Amino acid sequence: MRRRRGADPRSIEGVYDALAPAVLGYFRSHRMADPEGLTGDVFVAVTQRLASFEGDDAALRRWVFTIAHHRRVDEIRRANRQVPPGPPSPDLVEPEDPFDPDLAAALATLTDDQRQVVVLRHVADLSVQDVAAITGRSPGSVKMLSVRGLEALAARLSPTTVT
Amino acid sequence: MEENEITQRLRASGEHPVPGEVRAGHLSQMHAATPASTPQPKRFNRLAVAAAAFVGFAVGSTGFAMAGALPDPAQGVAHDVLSVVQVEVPDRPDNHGKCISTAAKITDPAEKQRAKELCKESHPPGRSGEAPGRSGDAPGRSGEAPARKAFPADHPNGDGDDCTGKPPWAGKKGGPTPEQRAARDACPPDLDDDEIEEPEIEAEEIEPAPQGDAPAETPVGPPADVAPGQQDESTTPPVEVPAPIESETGTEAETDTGTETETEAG
Repeated sequence: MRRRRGADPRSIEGVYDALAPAVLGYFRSHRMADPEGLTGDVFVAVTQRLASFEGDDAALRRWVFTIAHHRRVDEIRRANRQVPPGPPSPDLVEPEDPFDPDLAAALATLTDDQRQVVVLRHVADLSVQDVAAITGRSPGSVKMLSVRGLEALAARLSPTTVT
Repeated sequence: MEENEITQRLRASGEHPVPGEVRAGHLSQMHAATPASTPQPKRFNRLAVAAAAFVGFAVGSTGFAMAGALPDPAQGVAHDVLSVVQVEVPDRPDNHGKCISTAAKITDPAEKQRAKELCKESHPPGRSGEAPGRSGDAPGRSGEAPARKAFPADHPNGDGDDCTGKPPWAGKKGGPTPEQRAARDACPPDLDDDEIEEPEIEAEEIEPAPQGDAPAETPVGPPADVAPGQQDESTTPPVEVPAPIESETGTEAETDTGTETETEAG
């Protein structure tokens, strides 16, 4: 089913209430410096282009997280350009997840590719094909990275692990 | 820890509600970024634009074709295409080959020749529009060239002049008749370039140079390969050197050629 979403306020609020928690969790899982601000940026961009969007709910979710993924990449590049080499300043210290700090710490131990796939697959609740489309990888690669990332998280969060 | 538990914790991290103040701030930003008006529906769909473009192209190209302003190949194509729909468009100006090929398809020889002549008249050769050659006679197959005229039986070149070209008996057995021989003998002699006699100038006819003229062009003295004492007077004529004119400062002799000879007095 294809439907066009208008730019009326209720639709904007509906989209925000449906997807903003996942987008915020996406940025928190990546331990971005300002996840709330980045979430706001994503939905401002969504609002500006929502009138021209056509697709179902799954396509809308994939589109919103594509914007979030690009916004995260842009933020990392901007931070890398602005930060001089040396120890990080206190402003750029990554905040801890207020809800599940252990999980956030375990995610930080994954490789960037594994973390990217695991967060999009399980936090953003996207399909393997959608994750592959967003990250530019093959579905097989996404599955492999997801499995290995989950294994690493399980090993990291296991109660028998001595930290 | 089971992977299912991990995935549940991961999914739960994406389901925490956004704090109220953060949500309000985001919504205000989103309302501020909302486009002022809904986008206008497209005034023209793609089909209408394509149709308008095609009609414009057709009208424009037809107009140019009717004005004869298209390039020659395009003008020829436009002529061929539009003639199908009974639209008169001038043909390309130099479509001489097509005219000739059309004329060549005519079976009636007289009609074919007439069509070819019409082609020749409508498509004059060259830029000047004049027939080739200097004589104005069309060469080749027209039958009007001098070499292809219907000659009289008794003369090979048939130009009516017995004094030029091959003699009438050339290539025939038996030689000339007395009348032909007499007519040929009555012709003026041919004057080729090498037969024109140039008048020889005798050495005695050259007048000597007047007095006062220096013999500038006359070789004075023996040639380089002859010793001074072995001059042959028969080969080297004596030359009289005019007497110098004396003056206060010296002797000055001026020749016609402008050379001056100066000799100090004393």
